[in-house]
Amino acid sequence: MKKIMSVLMVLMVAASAFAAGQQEAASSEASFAGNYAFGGSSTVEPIIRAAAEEYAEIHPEAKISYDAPGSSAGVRGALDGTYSIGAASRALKDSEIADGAVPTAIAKDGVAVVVNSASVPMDDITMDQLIAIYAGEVTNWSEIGGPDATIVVFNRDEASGTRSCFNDATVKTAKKSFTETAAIVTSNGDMVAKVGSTPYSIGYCGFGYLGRDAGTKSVSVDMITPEVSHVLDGTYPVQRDLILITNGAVPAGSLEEAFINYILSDEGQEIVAEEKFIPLNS
Amino acid sequence: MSSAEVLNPPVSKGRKEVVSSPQSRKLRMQEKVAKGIIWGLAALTIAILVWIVGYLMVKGLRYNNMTPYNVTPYVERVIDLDGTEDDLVFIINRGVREQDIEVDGLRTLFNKRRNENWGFYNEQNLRAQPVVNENAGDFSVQVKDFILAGEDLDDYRGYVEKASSWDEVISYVGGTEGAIGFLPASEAADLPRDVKVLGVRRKAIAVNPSVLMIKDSRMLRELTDKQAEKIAAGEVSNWMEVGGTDLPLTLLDSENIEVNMEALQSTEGAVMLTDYRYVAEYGVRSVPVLRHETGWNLTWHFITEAPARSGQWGGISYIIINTFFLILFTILFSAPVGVMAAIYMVEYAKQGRLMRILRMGTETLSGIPSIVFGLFGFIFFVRILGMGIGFISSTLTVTLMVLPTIIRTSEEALKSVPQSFREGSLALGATKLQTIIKVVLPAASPGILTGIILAVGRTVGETAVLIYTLGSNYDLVSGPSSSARVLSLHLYMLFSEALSFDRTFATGAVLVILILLTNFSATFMMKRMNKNSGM
Repeated sequence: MKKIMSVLMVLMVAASAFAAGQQEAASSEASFAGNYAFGGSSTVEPIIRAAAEEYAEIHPEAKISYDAPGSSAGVRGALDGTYSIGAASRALKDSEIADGAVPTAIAKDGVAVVVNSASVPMDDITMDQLIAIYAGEVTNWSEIGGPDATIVVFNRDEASGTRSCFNDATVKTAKKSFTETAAIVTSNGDMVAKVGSTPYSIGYCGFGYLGRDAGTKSVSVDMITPEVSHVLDGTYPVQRDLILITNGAVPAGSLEEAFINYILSDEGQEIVAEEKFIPLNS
Repeated sequence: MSSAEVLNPPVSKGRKEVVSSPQSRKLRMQEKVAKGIIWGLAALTIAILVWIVGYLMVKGLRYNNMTPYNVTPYVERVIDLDGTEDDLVFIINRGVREQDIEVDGLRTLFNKRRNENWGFYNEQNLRAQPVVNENAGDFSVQVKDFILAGEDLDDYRGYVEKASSWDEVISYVGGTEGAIGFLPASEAADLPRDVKVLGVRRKAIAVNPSVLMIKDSRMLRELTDKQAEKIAAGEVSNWMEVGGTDLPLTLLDSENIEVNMEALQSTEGAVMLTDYRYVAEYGVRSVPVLRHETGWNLTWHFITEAPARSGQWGGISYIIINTFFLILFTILFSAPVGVMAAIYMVEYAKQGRLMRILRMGTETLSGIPSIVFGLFGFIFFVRILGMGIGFISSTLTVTLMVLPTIIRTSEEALKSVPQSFREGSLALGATKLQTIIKVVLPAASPGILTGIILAVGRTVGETAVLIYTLGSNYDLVSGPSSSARVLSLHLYMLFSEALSFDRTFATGAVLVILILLTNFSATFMMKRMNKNSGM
């Protein structure tokens, strides 16, 4: 018993020393010291995480964290103060701009259509077929020249900017709406993981996630392959700007301003390219 | 009976001597069948266990992938450059875990807007530091042309280190982490120990764009290394044979590059095995070739390096430490409270209706799915108490979750201490408190310890609670409010974000090993305690 007590005592002392050390570390003087919570789109997540990691080398005292509950939550979070910077992979709605959301574009991205590579032989589908699949009018691959199997449709959650962008460019153009029977996934990574492991499935994800999962392959839409050059010349139909959102203009001299400027700098845009998104200046 | 009779019993007599009735035969039969079923099921269980653990360990220890590259797997350690007298060798610091690199990677290493990270090539979070010899003259220009082919760049980037002799390049590469440089082959005769040669893969399969066209909703995506070899050997006459569209294949020579490139651009279905730089230079397409890559997945580096880039690079050292911190603090909070509660319930409380309700309550709590605790923790600790998503919220929530387990097992352990122990102690004049501390607790300690170890097991394996309360930051825990990740959560993130299957399995293997270690140490400790307490 004595032994246990002494062990406990030692642990307590160690823990308090640990906590004290932390406090000291936190109180070291620096302009940007503190914890910063950013959050929003899961598409933008890799850019922010990588940029934050690089940024930590310049300002180690600023601890930046990023949550990825989706674009809409990102905009809302930026407006209600949960996040000091929100991120979205869709354009802002008028109501959001009216509430004071200020967007800053940091990259371009396309949304690619992916299918399960082992079971779906097609490498190209037309826009009409894509709309029909996502509106729930075509439910079997044989109807569009594939094998006789039910199409497993994966869609993103309502908060997703990728979903809203995909919706605008596909089913909405034909004045239809998404099928209700699609299985819902909550992030781009989740999407490729599910499509890669589910036979006869179809889904969509940002270009940055192509090739992440060996079981998926991207298909071209109307013979236009999902490539950076096709986004830049405007031929690829599903594309968007990735934006950071602040509540009102960014205060001068704040970490938020410095961080946004860092992403817009040459170095930051190189990170955008590293994460397989399209830099603004390209 | 004589011995002869025993050895050769008369047949007729033997039949009569069978004493078993049909009833007992049936019983014996049942016995046999039951034994067989039990043995079979036991064997099946063991087989399943071995299979699961074996599969996890094999997948966790080794990786085995087919990775597409723009170039074929053919590696050159000494590169013959057109237009230079000397051959070219790339050297890197020994600390860089890279054997060979595709030529496009070299371009990025020397010519990106900022320092490249080796993580993109071998998942090692290490900044690349290129170095060149300023006074190399023509040789340098040729190499620059080779590395930067297709770019009209006049000079090296600002971060490229300049040395003034080949010896200086070698010593710089040897002494700088992540350094890369190049030398003429004649200078690379005997390199020091801390410098190694980096192989280069530069042969690409250049094709006419028609090969990669979509026809009947099908297209050629990639080739395996075997298929690429067959094409280069001239054994393929139609692209259909290697998974492409119906198009005759024309193999072109890579000598006399200008003429043949023109032919490549004008002939449908034409293919040429050539240096990758010409692909960019002439604006033709190349077919990705799969390379079979295999090796150790769970390495020392994986365990000891800090994670980076959402866990895609580096290792899991911080995450292992976070896991231990979570276990430590959970046990620190829950064990004293749980054991005291159990002591009260067994030794002091009146065994009445209240106790029955209390017992039922703890039992119900220990059966509640952890996600419900997660929800509670999120609402109560994170929101209402305003602790935020972080280490303290998650520790408290997990404490609540494991508390019932600890109370239940401690209670059982205390109850199983014979009443005579207490009576003996009291009879000798010890007070109740003395009896509990000096007699009952030591005797019950193996059982109490089992409960604590069960709690450790639950903590290690917990994911649902932590998603809501611990967040997903992969840094080291730096304070009570810092968001963090533990092993199980890291595994979930890697898997659900499709970051890396290999790393998911490696993390899984670490978890399995950790739990095996916990169990072994628990058994060991219990044995020792049993000996000491004399029970």
